[in-house]
Amino acid sequence: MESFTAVLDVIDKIQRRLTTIFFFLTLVVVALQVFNRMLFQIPIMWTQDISVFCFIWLAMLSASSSVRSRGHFRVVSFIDSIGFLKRWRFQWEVFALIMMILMSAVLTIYGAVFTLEGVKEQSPGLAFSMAWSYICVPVCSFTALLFSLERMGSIRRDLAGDSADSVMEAGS
Amino acid sequence: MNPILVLFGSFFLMLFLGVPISFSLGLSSVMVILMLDIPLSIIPQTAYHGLDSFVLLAIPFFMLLGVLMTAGSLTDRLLELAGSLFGKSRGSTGKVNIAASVLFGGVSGSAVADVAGIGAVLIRAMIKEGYTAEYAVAVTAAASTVGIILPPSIFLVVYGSLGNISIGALFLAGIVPGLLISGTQLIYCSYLARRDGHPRGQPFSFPRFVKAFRKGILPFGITIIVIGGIRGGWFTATEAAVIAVLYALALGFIIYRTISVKRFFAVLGEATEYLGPTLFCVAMGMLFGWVMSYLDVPALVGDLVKGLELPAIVILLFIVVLFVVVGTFESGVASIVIFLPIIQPMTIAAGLDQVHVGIIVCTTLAMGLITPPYGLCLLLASKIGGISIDRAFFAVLPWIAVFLSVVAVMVFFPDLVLALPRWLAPEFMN
Repeated sequence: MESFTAVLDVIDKIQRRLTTIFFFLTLVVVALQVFNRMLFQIPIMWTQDISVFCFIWLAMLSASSSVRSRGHFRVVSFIDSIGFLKRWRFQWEVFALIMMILMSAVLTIYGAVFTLEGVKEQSPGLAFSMAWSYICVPVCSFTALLFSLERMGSIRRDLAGDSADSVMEAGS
Repeated sequence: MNPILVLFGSFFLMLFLGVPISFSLGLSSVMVILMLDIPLSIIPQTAYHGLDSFVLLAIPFFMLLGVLMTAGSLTDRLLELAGSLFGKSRGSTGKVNIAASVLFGGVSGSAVADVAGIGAVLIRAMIKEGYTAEYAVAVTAAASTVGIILPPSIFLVVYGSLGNISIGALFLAGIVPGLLISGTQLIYCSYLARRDGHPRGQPFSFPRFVKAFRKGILPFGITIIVIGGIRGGWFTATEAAVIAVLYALALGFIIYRTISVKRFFAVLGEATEYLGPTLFCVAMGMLFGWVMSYLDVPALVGDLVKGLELPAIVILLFIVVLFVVVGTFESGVASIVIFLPIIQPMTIAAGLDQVHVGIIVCTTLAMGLITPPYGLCLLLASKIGGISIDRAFFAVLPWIAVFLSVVAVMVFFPDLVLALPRWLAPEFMN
């Protein structure tokens, strides 16, 4: 278990670094798009494609990391406010994680199929295969699956340490 | 078994059993896709194309703007400006709190960033001055909601991009309701100050105001960039968000020298913390929406509403009640993603203006930020104020009533919402 966690630590660290890099790149590319258009009146064809490419990677990477940091929005107040449901809190946590693993598995497998289908597709503004963009779905879903598996082993600790992980609101 | 029943039944079951919202949306869609023998490759395809939108790029930049405001000490300057406005009137720090939220909301798109930035300073200051912790928490949480209504707003970006409605029109339409809510809160704050004998502030000083104004005026360039840039047709919402971020960075790096390169990259990391859950929710919501369209749910709802021949006002009131309920247990972004495909055909069938409906929905959802269990602004404020969420909720109840009264005014008088975009940008209203 410890070596599994150590590997996931490395993956998580790489993902977070990549997230920051993609965020920065998106900022630079969109800024370039605006300045170029306003200063030189020349629209650059590839900026929109690059920025959306970075954005989708950014979204999928940070969604995967949020599985590990228990950042995804969820509602646990219903379970907590009903006595017989609350008694089974551990089982509900297992159920939630199994559901997350299932969804991650579906996205990993069919995301890989989607990526393979995209190998021959070309980005309209850039001359590269769309598979470079599509591959973020299976890759990030697979790491999300690994993070969910890791969390299976620490449910009791998580439940004891934090009862309020339910409430998160991003961007509100 | 009826696939519509499976879709909604499995979604709500998983939701209430603690499965994260985005995963509940995805899995309930997968069930129906399996049931109807649709190729499963549609799942990653729809989720991917749900995010493949230049407009959605505005979301991370408005989030970044909120974090940068505090990291670059821009919040402190706005607080100083708000603090110089109310003089020695009774309960002036409460009023400063509301005014600061208006100023902050006008330059940031996030209510949570408002509580984290303003609340961290003012809640403690108010308690020190002799206000009760309950009052300090309630006024901070209630005032922060205006950040979602005043432009720029992340809720409005999501609503506009998913509903195919002009974000420029939504931004302009949010101004009057936002100011109306804050104005009503100021009146209520004055009433409480008199009733409960709240402490007085320092006497008004014109030199102090001028000094604070000079220090605090530059962050307002962000509002001008966003509203003026979109209205003038110079930028799209996403481009305006990026230029606003660059402007905030220029203030932090060059003018105020409060941000270093290292701090900037740390801020980028902080902003992404909230990004993944929001955007994954949007992607899975797109999948859920695709399944709903496949099952003809929006058309069925539209036909049902047409068949019932309900007056438009009843439909609007129904939407308010729906989002008041939904907003209490669900994130605002997720609520928009899930319910927009259902309410849009309803409101179009009833002949309602989509900008008006968008503002009503987002304003009602903003209220959800101060209602437990999902009221993150209230939760954050109560944490800063050191009181339990139960005590905070009872303290914020009258503020919720104030909020609802303004929503009711907006429902019955649509011109209050629509006059400004019709006047300033009629081309956005078609």
